[in-house]
Amino acid sequence: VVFSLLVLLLAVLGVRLVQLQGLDGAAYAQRAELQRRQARTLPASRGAIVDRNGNPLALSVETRTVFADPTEIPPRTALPLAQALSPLLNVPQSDLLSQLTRTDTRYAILARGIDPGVAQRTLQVLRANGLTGIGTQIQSRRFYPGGGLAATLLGFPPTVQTTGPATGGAGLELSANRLLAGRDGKVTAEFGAGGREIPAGEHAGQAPVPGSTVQLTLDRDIQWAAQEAIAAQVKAVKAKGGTAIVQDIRTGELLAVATAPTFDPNAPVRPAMAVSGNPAVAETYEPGSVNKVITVAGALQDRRVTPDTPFRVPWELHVGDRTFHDAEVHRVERLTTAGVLAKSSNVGTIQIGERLGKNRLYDFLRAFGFGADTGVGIPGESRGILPPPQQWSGSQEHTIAFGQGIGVTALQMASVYATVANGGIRVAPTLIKATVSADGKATPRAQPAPRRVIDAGVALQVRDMLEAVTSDEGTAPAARIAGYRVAGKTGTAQIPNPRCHCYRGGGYTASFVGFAPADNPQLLVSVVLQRPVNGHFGGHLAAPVFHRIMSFALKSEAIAPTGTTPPTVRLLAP
Amino acid sequence: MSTTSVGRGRTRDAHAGRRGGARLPLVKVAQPGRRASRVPFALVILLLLAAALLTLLLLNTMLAQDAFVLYRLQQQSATLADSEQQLQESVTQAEAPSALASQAAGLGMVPGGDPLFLRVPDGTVLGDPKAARVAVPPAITIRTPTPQPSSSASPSPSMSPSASSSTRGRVGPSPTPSARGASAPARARKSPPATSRATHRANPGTQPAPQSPRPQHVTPTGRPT
Repeated sequence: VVFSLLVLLLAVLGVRLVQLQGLDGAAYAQRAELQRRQARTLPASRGAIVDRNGNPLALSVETRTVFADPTEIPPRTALPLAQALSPLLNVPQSDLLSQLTRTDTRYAILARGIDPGVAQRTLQVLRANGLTGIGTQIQSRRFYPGGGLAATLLGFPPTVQTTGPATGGAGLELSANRLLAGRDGKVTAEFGAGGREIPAGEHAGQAPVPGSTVQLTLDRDIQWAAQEAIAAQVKAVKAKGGTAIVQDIRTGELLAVATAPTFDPNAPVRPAMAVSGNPAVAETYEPGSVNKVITVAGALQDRRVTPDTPFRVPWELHVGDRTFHDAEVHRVERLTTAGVLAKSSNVGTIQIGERLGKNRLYDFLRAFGFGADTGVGIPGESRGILPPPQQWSGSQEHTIAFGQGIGVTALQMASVYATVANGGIRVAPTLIKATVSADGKATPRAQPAPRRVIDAGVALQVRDMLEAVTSDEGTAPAARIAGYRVAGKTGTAQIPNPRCHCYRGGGYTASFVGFAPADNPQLLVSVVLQRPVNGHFGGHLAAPVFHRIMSFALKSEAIAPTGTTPPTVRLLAP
Repeated sequence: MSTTSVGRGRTRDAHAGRRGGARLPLVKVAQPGRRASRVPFALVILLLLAAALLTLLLLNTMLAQDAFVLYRLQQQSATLADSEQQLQESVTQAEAPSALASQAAGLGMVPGGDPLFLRVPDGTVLGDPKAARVAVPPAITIRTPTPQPSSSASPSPSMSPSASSSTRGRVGPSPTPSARGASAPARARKSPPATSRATHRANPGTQPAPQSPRPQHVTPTGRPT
């Protein structure tokens, strides 16, 4: 009997075994595997943005998002949990409690952007107290070590959506996003309890491709100095805004693109200016007198004038139905071409422009880069406003000669002077020096081909005239730097008033563009102040800023004075 | 080898015997001998099997253990990476130009004036020393650690050759009262306000004073220059 009972028992067990292993086996194995096997996304780290010396301007740091699964939290532990978490996460207890007791979700976010160390300590504290239902998730935060340094240039990265393409973003973070972002990887593997991967288990996936580092041509220190200087002056003269650009003349590399006002990109809330584009390339303004250099250079290039050609310059000039006059009332003067430029006479420039002709003036404006992208790669760049000469009104031909009636960007204007300083060869400005992939391979940015705009001899003549601008007789002695030879040009332009379609009450654009050393030009600094309230002359407002930034840049780049004496340029005609 | 061939022969003979009738088996094989040779063979196989199983068990155990170690080390590495990141964050923040500038201002430094160059071979001063002079706000007292001439652990400016430390003083306003007592920096300061071309990167727009927090120049190899 015992024997038959045993046989029966064994038979039952055998049948059950067959059922489990043979019939339902596949289903159970699958369920087990589903429990073990998980697909995880391996986020790619975002590349940094560094300056020309490799100093970080923007980098990504890891943070944790702390979340709760309310279904795993018994109601009675919700309060002690909230009490324990509140000081650790720095979130009010009531907010935590309302999240912890939600019933509609298994993923209630308690805090974002938590420091990894803090998050780990939090989990340890909870584990020690036997509290469950809290987890952390790795997230990335963009960090700008310099605070507002180049903030309007860098912008901010687009937000990655769970579905669909990324949205938002601005500046270089947006335009270089494809390079910076990298590619997320994924892994499908078997994980045991506690998230440990089971060895010798199934393991398939793709490693993440980290984003490349984008190296800019900016110099962190010069950028800072330019930003400080322009911000201080904008504040002092109560201007609406200002830009300062520092450019290496030989290479076209931008060492600083500073704008004021700026913002703190590390702050959680971004102001509207964060998305409006960089004013140095996005904002067009009527350049005013700084534009005269094109008229003069063109007339010299076409041999319509020489530096010593005399002009009879009254303070007022009637052309057709319009009357043009110089900035300040003066007696009739006899100025040379150089004198017209150095003293920034509108009336004299109109006469030079008439000799050049409007079609040739247009050609030179185009050749110097107006009405076209600079190709610098800053998003939101404007081409400026330069209508073809057939569309110019009768007076526009004259106003454009002295810089009213067209729209340019600060970078376009800076490029004109860089061209003159560079012996008439235009090197397009560049901002991105190279991209460095995660494995350390640097890819230099293709440099645009230089292009000759005016002859070297003409450029030399113009350079001498521009040096006279910073002489005691010129409009900007404040731009001079002791021991150095400095060349440049002031600009005091009127801003159109949209209400009356005239210039009355529109305010002014005060600017100064210059380079040093004048006889061996290496650095260019352009300063533009929009709508200053305290004063409006470029020579008074922008030239001191130029002085400050140029002094700093010369020291920073270790450019010694050339020790030569400036040539004597005749400003007054006999 | 021999046993199998013998066996086969026997079977063939048996078949032949059945078909042909009167043929006798040609070979007799000693059975006990064959039996004796099988036991050690089976034992060897069993041993091998057991050894293989044991090895497999051992390997798996080790693999599992290593997985735990790996996980622990990965956690440790992640923690270390976190703290590295945190430290790096504070370093980059501290070395940002604006942070350096405010630190320098706190120490009583002021931005330099116009550029001024000292040509080392012939001692020519390029630039205008008058324009390079900047007004120093008065009544700033700075406590500086007194440099030790001995080779103590504290990095003293006098230890390093003048090429590195003393030229770090940029375009000098009048030396701060306490810095006057220091030997090497004071010498650099008392000399005409000039600087060599190599020193410009030190601090943006500020004049490194002897009380700079890192007065020792260190080459990439880590040795003080």
